[in-house]
Amino acid sequence: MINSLLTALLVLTSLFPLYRGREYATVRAEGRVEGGAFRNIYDPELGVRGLVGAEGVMLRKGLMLQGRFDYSYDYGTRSRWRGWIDPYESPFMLCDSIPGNISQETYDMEASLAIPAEKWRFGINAGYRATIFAKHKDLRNKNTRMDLTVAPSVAWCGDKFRAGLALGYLRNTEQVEYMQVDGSSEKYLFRLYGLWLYSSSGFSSAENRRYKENSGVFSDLRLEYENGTLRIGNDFHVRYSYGSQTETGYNNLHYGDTQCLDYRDDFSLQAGAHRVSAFWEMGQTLGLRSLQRQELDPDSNIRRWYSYGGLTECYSRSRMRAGGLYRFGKERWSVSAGLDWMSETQYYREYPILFTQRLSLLEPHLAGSARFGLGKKAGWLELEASARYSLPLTAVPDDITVLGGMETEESETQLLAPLFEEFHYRSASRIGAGLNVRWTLPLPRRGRSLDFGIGVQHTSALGGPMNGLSRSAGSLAVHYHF
Amino acid sequence: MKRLLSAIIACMATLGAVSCLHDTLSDPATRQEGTARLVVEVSAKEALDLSKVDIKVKNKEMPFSFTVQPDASGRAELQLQPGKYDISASAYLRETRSSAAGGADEFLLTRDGIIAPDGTVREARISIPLTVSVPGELVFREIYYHGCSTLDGAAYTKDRYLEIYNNTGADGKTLYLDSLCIAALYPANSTTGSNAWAGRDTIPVFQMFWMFPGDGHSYPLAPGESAVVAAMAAVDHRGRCTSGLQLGKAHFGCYDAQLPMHEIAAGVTPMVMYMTGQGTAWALSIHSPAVVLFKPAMGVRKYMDDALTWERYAPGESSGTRYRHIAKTWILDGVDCADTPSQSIKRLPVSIDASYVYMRSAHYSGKCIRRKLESEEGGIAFYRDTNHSAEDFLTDCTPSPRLKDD
Repeated sequence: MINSLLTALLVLTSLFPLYRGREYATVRAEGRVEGGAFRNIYDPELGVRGLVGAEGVMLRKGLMLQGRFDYSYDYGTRSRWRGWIDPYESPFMLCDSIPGNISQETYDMEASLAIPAEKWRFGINAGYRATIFAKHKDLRNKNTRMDLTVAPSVAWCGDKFRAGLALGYLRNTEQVEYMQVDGSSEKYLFRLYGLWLYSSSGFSSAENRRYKENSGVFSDLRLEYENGTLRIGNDFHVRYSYGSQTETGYNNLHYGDTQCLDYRDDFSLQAGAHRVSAFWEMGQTLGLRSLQRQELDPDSNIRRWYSYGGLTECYSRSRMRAGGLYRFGKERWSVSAGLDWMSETQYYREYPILFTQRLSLLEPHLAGSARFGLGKKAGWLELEASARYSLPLTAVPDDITVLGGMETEESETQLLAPLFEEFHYRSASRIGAGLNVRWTLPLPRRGRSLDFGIGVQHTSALGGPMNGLSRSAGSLAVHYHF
Repeated sequence: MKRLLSAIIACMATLGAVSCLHDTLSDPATRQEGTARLVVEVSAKEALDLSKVDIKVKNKEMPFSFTVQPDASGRAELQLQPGKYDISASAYLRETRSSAAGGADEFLLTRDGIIAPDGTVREARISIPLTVSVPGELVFREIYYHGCSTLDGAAYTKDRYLEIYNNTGADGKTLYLDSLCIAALYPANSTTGSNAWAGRDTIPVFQMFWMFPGDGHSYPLAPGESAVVAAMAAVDHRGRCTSGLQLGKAHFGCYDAQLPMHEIAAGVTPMVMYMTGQGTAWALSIHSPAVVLFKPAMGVRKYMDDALTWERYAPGESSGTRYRHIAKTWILDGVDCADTPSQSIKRLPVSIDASYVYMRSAHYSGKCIRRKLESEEGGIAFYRDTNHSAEDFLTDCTPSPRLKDD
């Protein structure tokens, strides 16, 4: 019955990553340090992360209850251009260029409930995350963000075939506000529109804040077939969201809307020790701007922004990824080899000018793991090693086309330095390797154990303007299971 | 079970259809249908080859500008992204040193047409009558408004100045500065989002204006000569800031005892201040002033006495601040300086400045705008003045005011 319940809930993405077939609870503490010059433009030079959390599963009178809570604190040095907590969520962003130290606190919680009814399973999952982000150097942005998801699900569980469907609602809001402490020199705020096209002005309290909200729906369809040692599964996920960015006040100023549609399909086939899995995903984000004019509102006698002519599509980011993996695993060891491919095209259009960026990458990767018993009291040791190579196939950072036979005047419309810095990072051929070691120590009381984990990762650029730069990360984790 | 499978297949088919629709939208080549068509018609009373006229369309949200030439009848068709634009048309007639210029105020272009001020939609057609004009006799040669830094790195704005030049050329005449006035206009910055006074025959003056003293023949300016007016402190700034300007050698200084922030050195002639608003200093914008040189037709004293005619509430308001106006026909020269082209407003009518000029360097950069040199004859420079500041001025120049002893 527990397996059936699990099937009902698997349609909710990553619902029970730690599920082990029984009631359990885990308390964990984790830490991570990352640093090096091979970094994306938004990444801090040196990043430190600490996390504490707890998670548990309970079975009560046929009901399955799950809960999780995590608190994390991130600190980073010399971070730039990060106007939103996730700068890739929207092409529109209010940001500044001055590097500064950043901190971020995240409170992440999730709860799920599943109810069996003969061969049917009904479940619901809800997640809530609150994030506070700040930069500690002028211009100082303070971001507050909320993420909410609610996803009811239903599943049918036969002897060999199982199918489940979840339909979910998501909403997130984020507000950013800039302030300047040192007024002796003027700092600039940049309004980005996608592909680093921008306008800018000196900091003023009149336009130093922005509010972003996203609402959307998603669905997850999972099909499973199991017959002896043969197991086939497919998970299809689709997500649509619509977002808008506005002034935080009441003057009705719209900075831009976004429309986002993503699909992903994961397929897996396992026959004995052999496992083949493949995935593909595609998605598109559109940036839409409204045409506004400030007019005197006769009722309030205040000048407000009025929109005309509907929304104009100005930005698009299309992305596709696909990959395959073969894994051969025995009880104490496994090896895997795979190949991933990604392609992304971004456009910014201010007709008759079209800016285009194209990037596609091929990534072969290898991994292996082994498990060693250390004796009944000392537990066991697990080693995992992985390596990944990334090869750019297409790399066009900024192709500008003028349509319609008009001449354009050269003007500063794009922040070229950050555009290229970001692109050189993303398009660099690179090699990465990682090693993780986990020691599981059984405790005297039955069902209790401690996990100690340590991991290191290293990535080096092998070509392009970032050739020779590298970045390393180290992590520590302690998990207590009971 | 069959029903479940049917439901799943239907669900996947729907998602697939949505996917196809989305992919169609994503192809930029198919998205020209989302653009707007604009017809521009230029005309001139004088005989002009209209196909030589440059029609420049500037996007006000993003700093893009496009130039097209009309056909011989003066007609041009443009396909543009819906947006907020302004448009100017100009031709420079080198032989006569004259220019033809015209333009239209900012407009909203949608796929359905142009949005009129009252919110109604009209046909996307703009007519631009060109006015042929000869260069002004007195022009602004340099305007330094950006400010610079103190030697400690803090912002510094007291070293700003305006330079007025006799542009009548080698065969020109001596002009007198007496009773001419300089002022900055409302809105004080180009970044206020909108100009409530746009399209009117009179323009509000920001805060105060300054008059050259004299009895009519006290301050002559020969052809090729300049007068430098220090906007705030006509003193030596060399030990104070990075520009190192010696404005103690300016010809004039905006100085009045009522304004405690202002300074003047011995030997500099103080301008005469007329307060039209409030303030303890002339707060000339450091990023986007619109400055004018003007002369009230009836004389400054009569003009100031006639508050009933020349002081008005803001458009649409019947209370609050009363703004002192000047007639646009009084303006001898004017320059619209924008902070950035993006979302900038125009304060001067197109008959005085059909476009605007903006600095690429940051505020407090210590740079200025300078009029382009057109020709030099007999050692006397002639500067370009086509009432089109985007074409007439160089930006981001190192200040080089022609001070008294230079």
